[in-house]
Amino acid sequence: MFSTVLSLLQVTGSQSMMRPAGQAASRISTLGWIVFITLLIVAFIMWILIAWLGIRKRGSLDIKPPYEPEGGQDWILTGGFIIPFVILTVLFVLSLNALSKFPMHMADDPPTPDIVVIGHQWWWEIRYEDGPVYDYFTTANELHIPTHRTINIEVLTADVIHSFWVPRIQGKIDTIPGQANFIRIEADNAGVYRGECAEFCGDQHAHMGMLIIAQTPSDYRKWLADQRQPSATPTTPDVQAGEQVFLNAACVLCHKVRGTVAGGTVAPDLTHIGSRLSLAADTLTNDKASLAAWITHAQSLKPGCQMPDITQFNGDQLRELVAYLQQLK
Amino acid sequence: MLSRFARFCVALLLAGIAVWIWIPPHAARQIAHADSAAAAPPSGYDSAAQATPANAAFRFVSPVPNGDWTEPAGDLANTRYSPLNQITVSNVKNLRQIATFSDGIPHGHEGQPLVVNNTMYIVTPFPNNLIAIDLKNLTGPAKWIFQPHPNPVAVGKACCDTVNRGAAYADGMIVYQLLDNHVVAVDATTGKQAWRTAVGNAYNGETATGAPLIVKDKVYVGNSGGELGVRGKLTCLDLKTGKVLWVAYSQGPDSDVRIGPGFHPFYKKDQGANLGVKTWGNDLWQHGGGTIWGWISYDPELNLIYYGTGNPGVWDPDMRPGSDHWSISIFARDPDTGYARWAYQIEPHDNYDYDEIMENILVDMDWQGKPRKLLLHPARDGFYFVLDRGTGEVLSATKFVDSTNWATGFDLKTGLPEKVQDKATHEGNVTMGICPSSTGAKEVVPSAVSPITGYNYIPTHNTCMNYQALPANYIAGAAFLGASVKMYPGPGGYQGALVAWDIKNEKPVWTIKDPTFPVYSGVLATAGNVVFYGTLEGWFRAVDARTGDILWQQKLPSGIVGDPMTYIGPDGKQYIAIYSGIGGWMGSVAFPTISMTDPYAALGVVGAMNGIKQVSPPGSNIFIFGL
Amino acid sequence: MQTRFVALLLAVIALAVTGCENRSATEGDTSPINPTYAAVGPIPGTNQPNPIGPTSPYINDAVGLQEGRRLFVWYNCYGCHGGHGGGGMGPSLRDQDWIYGATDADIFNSIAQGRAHGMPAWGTRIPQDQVWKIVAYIKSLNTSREPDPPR
Repeated sequence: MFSTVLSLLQVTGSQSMMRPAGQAASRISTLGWIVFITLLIVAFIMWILIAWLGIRKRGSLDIKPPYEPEGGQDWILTGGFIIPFVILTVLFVLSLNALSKFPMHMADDPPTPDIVVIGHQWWWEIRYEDGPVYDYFTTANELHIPTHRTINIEVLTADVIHSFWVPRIQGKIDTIPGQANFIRIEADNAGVYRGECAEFCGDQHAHMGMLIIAQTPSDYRKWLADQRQPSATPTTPDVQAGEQVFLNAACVLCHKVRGTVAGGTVAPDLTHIGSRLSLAADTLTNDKASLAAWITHAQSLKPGCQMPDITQFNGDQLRELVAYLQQLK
Repeated sequence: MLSRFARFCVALLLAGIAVWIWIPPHAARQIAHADSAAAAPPSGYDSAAQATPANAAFRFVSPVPNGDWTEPAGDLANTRYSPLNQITVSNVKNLRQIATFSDGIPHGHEGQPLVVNNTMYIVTPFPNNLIAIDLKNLTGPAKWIFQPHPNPVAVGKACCDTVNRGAAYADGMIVYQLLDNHVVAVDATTGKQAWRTAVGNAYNGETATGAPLIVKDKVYVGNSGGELGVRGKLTCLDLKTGKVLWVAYSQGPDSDVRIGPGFHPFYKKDQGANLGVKTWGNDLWQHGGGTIWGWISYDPELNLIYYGTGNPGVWDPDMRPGSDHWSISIFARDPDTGYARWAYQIEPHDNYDYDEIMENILVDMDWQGKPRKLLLHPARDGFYFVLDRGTGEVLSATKFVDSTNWATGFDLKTGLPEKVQDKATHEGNVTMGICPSSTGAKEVVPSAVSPITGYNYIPTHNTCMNYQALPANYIAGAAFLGASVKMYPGPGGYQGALVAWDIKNEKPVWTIKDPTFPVYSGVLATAGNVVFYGTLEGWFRAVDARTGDILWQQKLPSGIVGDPMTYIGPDGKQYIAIYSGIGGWMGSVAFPTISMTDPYAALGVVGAMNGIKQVSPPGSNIFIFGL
Repeated sequence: MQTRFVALLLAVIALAVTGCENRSATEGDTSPINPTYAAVGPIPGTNQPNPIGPTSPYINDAVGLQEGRRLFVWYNCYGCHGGHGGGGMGPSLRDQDWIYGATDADIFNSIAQGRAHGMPAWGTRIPQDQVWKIVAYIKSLNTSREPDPPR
């Protein structure tokens, strides 16, 4: 009952599994509706029977004993065993059918992944490993895919078990330390779909969001081409100053900006941070104020996360740094 | 009138083209060969023809040191063979210590001294002093000591101890590299600096430990720092002025690698434009390693220099998808222009840190019935490579250390190793039992060949490792390692051996096993059929070149990681010189700054060096032996 | 009886929630003492040993030590000083020998200011709080408190 209410509440959200936007999700959703309606019918019948029990005239103990030794066994056999058996069998077969259409982990024939998704505490690293190796690039938290194309995804983890789940696109898949899992996804329509780590993974589990951004094939190709470029060369004095602030501060120890000496790999790649919609694993929107706040007060916004509070900048430096990050489109 | 002149010009042009086509390039080469053969060998040297004995197993290609020792390996072809024969199998038992001299710097003494004009030149580990010893006055003070005062920052950037692998001599100058990437030329008589050129930046992790090679009027030096995200490069300097003439990188666009139209790699996998960029993922070629910290060879007949490149950028292979050209490759380059003639990548997409900076030994010999110009490369990865040095074709790749298990062999048609998938390393996973370890089946210490026996005397290791690749941040000037490695002795109850490898029949003839430590010293072969080498315990040995019998040995105070050399003293007698001073990568475990409680320390070698601190204290001596 | 059980349950939950507070995130963020003034050598004219200077707040904090271990790997310390601080390009941090002083403040200074033989000065890069975590980790090496000891 509780879960039903919860899932009905979700119908309006961008994370609703009841509004599928991909093949896998729509199968799950269809199955969900079948189960839901079937069980609703069963529940309805049960309510009627219970009501009937309530209003049925029991008669008097003087006339009849409280039970009929010969009667009612058919009810138990039919209602308590045969009908549930049939319903559950049908649901079981339907579930198996839905599952079989999920190409998940094929141990003996791992498919070549187009994209590798790596769970970190508490963000998602996304590596595009499609085409020749020099076209590979890494981004974070926002998974762009073309519509109407099946994408093979390998999911890994850098630390603990996470679960990669974008309800409107696909079913859950866990990231297991030391093991590669595979999932195949496809989006029907262009749009932004939100997901969330679905396996408790520590302090900021609740702030480990991800966006799948499905684009038309031509938009996607354009995005890919942009992402493959190294970072934009700063042109205005502000931004140039910002680049120097960036390169001389703590940032470069963990973050990478392709085209500069910043070569960190343990934190999100910032080469095109300016083109992303969100910050900190879809915790904040990507704008000037959020960037400044995140740099200086990450531990207040997402306590326990691995981004420290960087308090070494004065106002001008922070403004320049933010300007630099914003122009990394 | 004008048209007749034009016709004349065209005719002249056509005639010129005809002549150019008529004389094929190999003829031009033969002319060059005739020139070089006609040129007298330098004093103290035999010409290649003079040095080649009757019934020799192979022929030399460059002059061979007969008295002096002016290049790091003695000769330009890295044979480390001396035609001196006063010390023989029968009299070597009388070998005794003539002199010893300490430079006072207790660090790894790799490399070898030079001897020119009755003076011995010793390059110390950091601070890279150059000490001249008068061979007529061995007990007296040093003639002079040149102190270059390199930048001490380089000490903490040198991956594997602050070693120096020696100097080279030409035109009255001793030329060598300082740890902080300066190349200096010092007047051999006065000890005054002639020139000094910075060819790298130690603050970014770049250091210089290799020995230079001098060919004609040019100096060639490589750099070190493959564990710090340095780009490997070979720098060519003018011998007279020290001006940098060209730089050839080990990765990047073809213009950086100096690959032009004359580049003809033998294998398809090595062909194509800009492989130094296209075969790297995530732009990692910019920190791509491939440093050149070993030995450089030169063939005067083909007029080509040869060298190998080190491991690619970070040790985590998943960070750099692709074949990572031109790391772990052998290059043949034109010594004048620096343009590559051919290159062969031994291990694409390195998983194990198998730097192939080993010596490339150049000999002419019959191979499977045909006279060939060969390049012999006993590789770090456990395979013995025989290449045609004119084309880069691999003629043979045979295991020379039995425990080698990362690959089953090499496909000579494609030039690719047949890798064992179970031994591949991946980010986050611990791959157990990889043999050889990163230190290799053979380290940088050079082997020697003898034309009398036809054997290559190889100092080998039998060390294995567990390897866990880890993602790494590139931080300029800090280690860019990306792996957690633990090494330990390999199977078979021994960890090192001197192997006499029959080049022609591709099999070991005899081995001298060292039960506890790898053999970490260079080898010298002599015409007296005596082979010299040392052990990490400090035993300096003379061995029968044919049978492997130990004819003579003496314990020196510190482990031997240097290379023995031989010369004729002022009295006309043959002497042998060797450093005793443990250090280098594995040897550094003997230093007090490394703890035995962490087997992952010193890039993982501690686990393989149990007991070294008790056996061999650090040392700083050179020993001279004679009859 | 039932109300008492509920009260007990609430108390347990409250206790658990307080325990969940992540100490490493809240402690030692702004240390007012400037460790630059911790001398490495003896001070002339006094008989006193060196002033001890500030100490790392994470010495006995298991979470802080674990963080220190993580940063030791992240910032490439392990590449030079050995996988677990045993030494290599840089000296061992597991032994009793401290070239530039053994106190927390000395170690902080070695990290923050760098040393002449190649140790970079990390002070402008690594936030002070993280340096203290690394100091605590280094002090824990080869002791029973060491997180993730070598095996």
